[in-house]
Amino acid sequence: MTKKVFRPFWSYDVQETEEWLSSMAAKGYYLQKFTKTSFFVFTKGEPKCITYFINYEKTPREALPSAMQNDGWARVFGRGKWQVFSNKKPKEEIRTNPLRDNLLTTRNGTIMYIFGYFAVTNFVLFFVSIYIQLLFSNQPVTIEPSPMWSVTLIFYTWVYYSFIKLYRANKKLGQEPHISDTYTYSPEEKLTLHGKAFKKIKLGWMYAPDKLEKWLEQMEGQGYNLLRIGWSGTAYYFIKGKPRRVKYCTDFQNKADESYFDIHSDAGWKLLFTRGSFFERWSIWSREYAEGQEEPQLYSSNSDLLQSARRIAFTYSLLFFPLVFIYGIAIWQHIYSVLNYGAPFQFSMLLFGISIIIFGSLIMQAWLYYRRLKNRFMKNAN
Amino acid sequence: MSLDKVIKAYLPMTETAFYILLSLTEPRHGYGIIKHVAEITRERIHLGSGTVYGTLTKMQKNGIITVYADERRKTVYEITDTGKKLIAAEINRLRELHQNAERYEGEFHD
Repeated sequence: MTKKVFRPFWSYDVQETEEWLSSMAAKGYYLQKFTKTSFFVFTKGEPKCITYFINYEKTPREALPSAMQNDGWARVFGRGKWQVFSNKKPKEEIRTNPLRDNLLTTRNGTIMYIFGYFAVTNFVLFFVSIYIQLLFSNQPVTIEPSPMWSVTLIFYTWVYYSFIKLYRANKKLGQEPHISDTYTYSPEEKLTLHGKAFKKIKLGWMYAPDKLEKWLEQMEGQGYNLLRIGWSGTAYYFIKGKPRRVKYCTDFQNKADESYFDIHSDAGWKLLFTRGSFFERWSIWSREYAEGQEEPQLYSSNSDLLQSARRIAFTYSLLFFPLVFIYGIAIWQHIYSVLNYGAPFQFSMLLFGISIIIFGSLIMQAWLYYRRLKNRFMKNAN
Repeated sequence: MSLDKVIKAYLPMTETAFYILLSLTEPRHGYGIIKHVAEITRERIHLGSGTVYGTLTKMQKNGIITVYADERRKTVYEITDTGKKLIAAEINRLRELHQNAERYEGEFHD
């Protein structure tokens, strides 16, 4: 006997769906499969306690890790990138857990941004157009009664519902492997912050991270110990103490999970700062070392560092080049119309020009950083 | 990735990749791999945690290793069947290298 249940938007909050599947199993309905149209198909049996896990994977695994198989985990169903696993053991006896692929966070994150974009732009357009109407026409705005309004209403409800639901679920998903975003400091540190600590501002170090590392290491060498870094990564709080040998490593990742933070802290690195969006994450790590000891490094091979520098340069080029390009075209068109049609010069072109210089210099700085690293390694190799 | 593709992409292996994979005789944590490699190379190789994380992430993407979380919610890395075949192919290559090195070594002594 089978039972079919319609569960729209189930993929927005997979954790909620997992719990729902468990509650269905407790009533004797086991998941068999789900369809593209969000219908979940169950088979009826004895009520059982089953733990479910839903994942979204680029390449579905060839097999579960043997440690998980031995722990009672099995694959229930897979379609496309979606995979469902289950475990019949009582929850507190399960020793292993599947790791959720970052892809799910990326997928739902992307969907959320699209809905968010829609919601905001439509909202703004709607009010701006009404405002302009009120401002420039003497006629009052009249709203035509029409059955089509219900379509509009349903559409907007859908957009806003999706956005809010995804926002909440993504926040939960992002926290699942706990990534502490802000460095918490002790009450003593808080006290010193008000007294002896002083603040220095460093802007835009992401485009030349090696310079930031060098500056921090020099400050430590002079006895200015770094206490903490502000949440945005621009404020650096120092306190006058003893000269120390501390290695600072900035690190850029496109995506970082729990294991990223674990492996570095296990290896003895202290996390001072981490901040990221859905396509990039910057972290700053530090480690004190004794005199005569080899300088610790996050990367033991130069090619890793070089690769990371290239990734930084590519990411920022990809991010800023379209802006430079669009502003460039706008300026070119404007100059063309000024020269050929005698159009008046617009002040906004000056702002466009400044933007080109700023964004262009950021791209260049990132590539210069890559070249500096390359030259340094070439020198070492010879 | 298919086995052929994996072998083409990974062989010959860097010392780093080889030792990371070789240390997966049993499932280990990331830092466990670093410690194990230092031990079996008698402290000659100290892998950077960034290097290990990067290599493991790439190997996971290519289906050479697979991951799960233990009861402490820490990531554990386990070698897959593809991974086992890959390291076997590399060990065969190294065996040939070693045999030829022994065979011709004498010729270079004056």
